[in-house]
Amino acid sequence: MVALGIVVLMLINTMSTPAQLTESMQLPFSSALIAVRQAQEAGATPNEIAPLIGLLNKALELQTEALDLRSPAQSSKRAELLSQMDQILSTVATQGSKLTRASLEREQTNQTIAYILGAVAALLGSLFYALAVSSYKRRRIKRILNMRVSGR
Amino acid sequence: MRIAWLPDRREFIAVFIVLLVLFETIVVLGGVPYPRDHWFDIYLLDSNRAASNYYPRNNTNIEPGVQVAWYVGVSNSMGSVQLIAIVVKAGNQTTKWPNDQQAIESPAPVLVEFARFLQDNETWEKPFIWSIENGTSSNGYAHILSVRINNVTYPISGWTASNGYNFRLIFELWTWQIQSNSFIFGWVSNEQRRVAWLQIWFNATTTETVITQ
Repeated sequence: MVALGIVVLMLINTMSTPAQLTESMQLPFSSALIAVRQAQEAGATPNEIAPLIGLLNKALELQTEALDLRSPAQSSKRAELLSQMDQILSTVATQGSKLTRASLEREQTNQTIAYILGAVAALLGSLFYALAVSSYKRRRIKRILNMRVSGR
Repeated sequence: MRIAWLPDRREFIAVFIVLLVLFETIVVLGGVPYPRDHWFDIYLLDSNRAASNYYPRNNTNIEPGVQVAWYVGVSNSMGSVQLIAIVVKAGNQTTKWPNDQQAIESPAPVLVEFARFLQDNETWEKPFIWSIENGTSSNGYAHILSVRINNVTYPISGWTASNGYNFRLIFELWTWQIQSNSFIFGWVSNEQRRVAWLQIWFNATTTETVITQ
């Protein structure tokens, strides 16, 4: 009788408590989130990250759906949904790593180009300075010679 | 070899070095991320996405079966991708509201949660269409027994208010922390804990008739 009472109480409790996503979030979300953040820190653009965010939100939907399937009869469907979610998170982690590498390479190339452009700008600036000084000196000599010729 | 118009090689090299240091410094400084504050916003809008007419016919008394349409929104200005959750809680006049200073969430029971990954500078608006599905009253207290939110029924126990006045819906913002592998109420910015939440009051004085849809 007591056991039956406990079972009934547990069933009532299950029925009246909404699925608590904040308490049952799966750990793989962290590794996927880390992969996406690393890609972002490596310089991936919002457009490049958007598909990964879409996949992560799809995984969230699957988890929410799986959490709503609480009866033992739905356990296989629940397992299937969670398996799909794991696959998606694994894809996100892989694609995030690829995006990180690509973004790092692109950032390094951009940085190298920026340094080269800085050096080119410095060289052009120096040449411009040299030309300006040379022109100024030539005009000055010309003026002095003109003054001497005119006898002033 | 001496180029005619180059006045002085040493002077040229000196100018080049000065300009090189200047331009490369600009390149380095251009790549340094500027310090910025990190925060979230949470807000609630009415069915017209305005902050004015939250209640049907401007009546704060919500009758069973009457749909109330809102949008709850969150903006991420944390500088990175974030996993957030909006936790909706069922409160009444005596419910403790969240503590801003100590970052303690409200002890009210959870009605529903919505989780979402958000990019930096992304704003997400979730429709929040709800109605009181089942209610009753006894001994001067109105009891809301179930609420329908976005076409899903959420049974709840213990959501009562004296004469049906001053029910509250509390919306709390929670964020996922990678270090602890868990959601926390609020977020951490510059090693400081911050929180964001809002609440909206309503009355349900006409729950005497039990309505089941």
